[in-house]
Amino acid sequence: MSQPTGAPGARRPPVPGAAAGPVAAGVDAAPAPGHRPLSRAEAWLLAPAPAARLAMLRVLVGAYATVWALARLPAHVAHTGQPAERWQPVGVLAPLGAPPPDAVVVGAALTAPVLALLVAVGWRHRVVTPAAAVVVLGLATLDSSWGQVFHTENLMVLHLGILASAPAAADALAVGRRAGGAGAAPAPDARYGWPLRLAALVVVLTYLVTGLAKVRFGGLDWLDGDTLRHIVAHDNLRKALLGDAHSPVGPALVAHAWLFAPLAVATLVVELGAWVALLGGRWRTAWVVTAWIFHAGVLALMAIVFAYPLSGVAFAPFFRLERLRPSARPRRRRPPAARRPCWGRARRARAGG
Amino acid sequence: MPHRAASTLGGMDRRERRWAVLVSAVAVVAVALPGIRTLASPGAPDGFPLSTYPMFTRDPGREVDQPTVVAVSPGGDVERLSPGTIAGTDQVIQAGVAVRRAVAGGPAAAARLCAEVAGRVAAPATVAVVVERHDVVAWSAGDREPLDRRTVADCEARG
Repeated sequence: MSQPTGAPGARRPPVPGAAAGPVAAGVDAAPAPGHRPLSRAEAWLLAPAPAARLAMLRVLVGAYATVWALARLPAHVAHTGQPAERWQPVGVLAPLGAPPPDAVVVGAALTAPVLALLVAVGWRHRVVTPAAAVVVLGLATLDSSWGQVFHTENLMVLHLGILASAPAAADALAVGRRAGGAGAAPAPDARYGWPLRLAALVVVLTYLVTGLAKVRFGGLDWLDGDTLRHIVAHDNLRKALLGDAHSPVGPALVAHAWLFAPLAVATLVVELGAWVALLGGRWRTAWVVTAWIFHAGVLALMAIVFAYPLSGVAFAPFFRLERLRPSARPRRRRPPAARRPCWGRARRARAGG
Repeated sequence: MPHRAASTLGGMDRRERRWAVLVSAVAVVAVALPGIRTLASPGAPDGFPLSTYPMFTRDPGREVDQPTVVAVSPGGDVERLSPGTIAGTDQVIQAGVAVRRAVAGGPAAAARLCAEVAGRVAAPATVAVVVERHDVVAWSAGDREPLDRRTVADCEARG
């Protein structure tokens, strides 16, 4: 399930109190046994990982945030035209009695894609990533401060916040760091491992909270399928009445009431079963695939795009991301004979060589 | 600079380690807390990005009242308006919330919304703030006519 990812064949001496096992492979390295639950949790959290793995998460989250900020730029600027009486602030904007000044909104909207791009390339990470996290948090909160909280960007904002809190996230794959230079490839370390583990844990927690909310508000009735059927039908109806595009699939399936009980059960299994992703290996992969299919189903039935999980970036902390680097792909050296053109061999054969 | 090839925690000093544990503890508690609050009280308010995730938890029922704004042409055709025309947003749910709040705010608030929307309608029409009652299952099966349509406010769009 896990394997060392440092120098080939290198073995490290155990360090007391640390994850003395192999380098954390996403979340699939077994934590070192500890005597107390807290020390076990700490050992799990502080499992070492390669610098490139954390850096690749930074690249992916930064790239996603760049695309998000560019795609949402017109909508962010359009907040300046909203009547103040619709202002219903949440989160960090909750203390504001009125929408932020237009100049601040436009400035943040224009700055966000630039900052997010700088996060992706790792430029001045310790300053830029916290700034990007704050600006993106502000914009995403602004989106949710007009009467409806959107839940599609929560994980992106949380992951950016985690990266902003991880000073080592630009120790690799960053502008100004030359590959192959002295100290350019730091050894696997806990400082690269804990942000990955935390990012994965946050993903799991959000799904668990979502599942708990369904059980809490809907109770066991949620499992009979009627609630989900009505939700799908109502969501598409609302979109149609308010002039938006709606799913052609959802309304077509509503006629088949029997489908919704298994879909409801599957939904709760994905959400309440998210913790299995922390087991690593096949459990992790199975959950990630199932969760992705779940979001694809939401898209098909209700035309709701959870772009962060659908893009795969939400699930990135669970995997050995350093393998995504082009330079990480092993070069295959064919034996000399195999590299000769076939016509060369034929010519030698004719010459008896 | 000491070589760190043999480090696991070896590269992290005590301060870094405390920082990692502190940030992680705060993040875990912050993300989990809304869920715990939901368990304690179903009325726990939603937030961002720390959410109770209340979406799709409650049964809206088979018959629903949906406020919206429509444009009625001189010929009597009812045209659905986009979220941008209704509320100047690309978000359908926020447009719906804007209409719902205007309807809940009484005739004056509905009339204000009506005038605001009329200013964004390109062709001459009667703009109406309405509440439509639908059977969501029947609507899904193709029956698009509302069970009931109540006009809360109307006004003229000059186009």
